[in-house]
Amino acid sequence: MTPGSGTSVYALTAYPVHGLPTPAHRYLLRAWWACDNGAGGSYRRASDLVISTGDTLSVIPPQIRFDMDLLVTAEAGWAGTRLGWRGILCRVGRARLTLHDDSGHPRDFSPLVLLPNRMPPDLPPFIHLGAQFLDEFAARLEITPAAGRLLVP
Amino acid sequence: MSTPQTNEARSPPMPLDARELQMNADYDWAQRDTEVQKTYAGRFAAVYQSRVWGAGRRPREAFEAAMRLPGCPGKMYLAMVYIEGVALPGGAK
Repeated sequence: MTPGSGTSVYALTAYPVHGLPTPAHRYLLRAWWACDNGAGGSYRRASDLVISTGDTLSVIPPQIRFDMDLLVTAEAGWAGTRLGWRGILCRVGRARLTLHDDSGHPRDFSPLVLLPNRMPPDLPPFIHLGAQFLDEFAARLEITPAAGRLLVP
Repeated sequence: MSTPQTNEARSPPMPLDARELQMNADYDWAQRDTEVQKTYAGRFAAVYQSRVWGAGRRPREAFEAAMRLPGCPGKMYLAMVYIEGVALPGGAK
């Protein structure tokens, strides 16, 4: 937990984006998602997040949510609410994930997520970490062309 | 293969267990292996012990392809990695 006592530091992976005439990266964060084990319990499964602060809320693609059996609960106050994301209708819920900091220390989060019923065809099917996550957990991002990190107090 | 112990009732959250460490290593391997990135670009790959067991446009297709193979360890052991087509540094060339 550095820097500063009580701050968790999570390393981001700079993933090169191909097909562009200029260098560009996506920033990925390894997350462990609570998934239905089919026997009334859960287990954790890895699926990278892509940092996407241009999105207000985090977004889980339907093929990941359903095919990997991610556990998502309804969020009080959002019942029946449907929001649009890139022109696609979405429900709202909360997923459960664990992040492991640079020293391997685990920490659970339950972020608010948009649940679109499909994905835009030109968008890789990553889970998007939206700006609201930073607001809710008072987190901040540090990003350079080669690396980045997420800091959560 | 038996159902792994789950983290459902664990509090505080637990470090990665043996199954998860293997999944983490397989996830990293798929992102860094040049041949995997070239072969499966634009698809999901189901990976276990540095081997692609199945691939598909959706995770479900990759799981189903993997489960058809003898010796497949089961869904909970398969890392499901979206293959972008570009290998991260540090893998096999």
